[in-house]
Amino acid sequence: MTAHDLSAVLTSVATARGLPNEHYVSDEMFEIEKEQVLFDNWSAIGFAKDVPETGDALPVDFLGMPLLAVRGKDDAVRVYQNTCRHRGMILVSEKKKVGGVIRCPYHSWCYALSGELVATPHVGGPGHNTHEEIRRGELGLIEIRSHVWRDIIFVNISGTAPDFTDYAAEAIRAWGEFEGKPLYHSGADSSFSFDVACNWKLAVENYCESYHLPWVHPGLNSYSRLEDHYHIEEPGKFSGQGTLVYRPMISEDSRRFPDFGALSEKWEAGAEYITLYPNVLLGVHRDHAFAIILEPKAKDRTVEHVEIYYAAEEATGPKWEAMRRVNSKMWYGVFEEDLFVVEGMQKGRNGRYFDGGKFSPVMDGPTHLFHHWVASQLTEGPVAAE
Amino acid sequence: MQPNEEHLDRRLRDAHACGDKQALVGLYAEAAEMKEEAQGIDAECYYLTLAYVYALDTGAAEARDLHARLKARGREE
Repeated sequence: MTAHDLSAVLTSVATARGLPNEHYVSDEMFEIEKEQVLFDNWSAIGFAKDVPETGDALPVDFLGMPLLAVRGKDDAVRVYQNTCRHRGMILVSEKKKVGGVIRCPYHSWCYALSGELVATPHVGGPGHNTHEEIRRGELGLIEIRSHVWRDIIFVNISGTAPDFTDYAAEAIRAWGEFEGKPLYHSGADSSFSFDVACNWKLAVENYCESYHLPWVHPGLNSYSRLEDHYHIEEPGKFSGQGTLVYRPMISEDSRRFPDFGALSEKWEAGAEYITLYPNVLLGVHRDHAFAIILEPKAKDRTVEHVEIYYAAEEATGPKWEAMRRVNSKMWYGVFEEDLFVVEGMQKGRNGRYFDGGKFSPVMDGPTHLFHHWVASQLTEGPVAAE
Repeated sequence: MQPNEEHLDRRLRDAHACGDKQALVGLYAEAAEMKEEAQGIDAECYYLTLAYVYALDTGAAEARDLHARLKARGREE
């Protein structure tokens, strides 16, 4: 695969073709995209809610890269390479609460939650815990650039991307009314996942557009028609779709989830769904939000991790449990309806004469923007940190 | 092995068997004192080190004192 081959993608939606089949069915291309699309940019690896307290440690295998997210004594979440500086042992193999330190299970080298190497037992011989060649200041855990936004833990593995707040500035600004407002998660009843037989990009591509809604989600037709949706297009950054007719859920006893405070009129009946490139699908409504992290497992396998958040802590309590379950069931159903599509597109890309696909110039703009962005990463590379 | 050593050894094995790291802090500190009398500073520091690591691992308050003892013996930074 060469840059030349992607020239058909790197043009306007009216004339462009989609990414060629190799980007979905080739192990070699999966590895290339791992480096240039996922590791060179800010990819999501997990949720901060899963390390809620000091000492909580969450190991993540992100495309073979062993990572460890840790909540420190300063309440900050940091991400380290989950590898001991001594013999390369995996430090934490399952989610746990560590005590005061991260202790390697092999020879018990110990690291502070802030990454410093603090103990090297017997390193100079039995009972001798120092040695002139063991300079602890040079042997702390390798920290991976990370940033938490909307409870999502992002990492830039290569270390070359711009600061997250610059990288995602347009998305942060687009949803500025929600910025800084806490998100509350209720636990298992607002959490689910799908193990899907498709390349991760297909989940993005489907999520970005509203074109499929009447056919794949016919349940929406009665109140949310295609013409009630609009494109969201920020070239090189994010894309998606919005609706003008969001209706908050109302319980049998006429209750509604509490709203995020101080929102403009836009959000009375508006809701938006965007993909922050590369692998995060986000949704916001006046009364709840969700985030979907796409975990690429192989060229043709993706795990979708879905978490639903509410605007007020009270909405996570038992009084709202039944309503939360209805909301989760509703979203589960919607996302489940998409599975045959993304899995079908994956199978379809084994058709050797498929040419990347012809976009609708009117309806496929947000999806084409994602193709264009991916192609740009592979031909020009990401915008480097200044 | 002296009877009190055998008793301590059994308690250590039991604590390891059930993963009771907090107990290991005290037991290894006890072993350090016992070994210091019989075998000298190296043996003492060997067991102090084990006590210290388990104190760090569990976030036990004893870590500070154990570190100070090791440092005073030139065995820790």
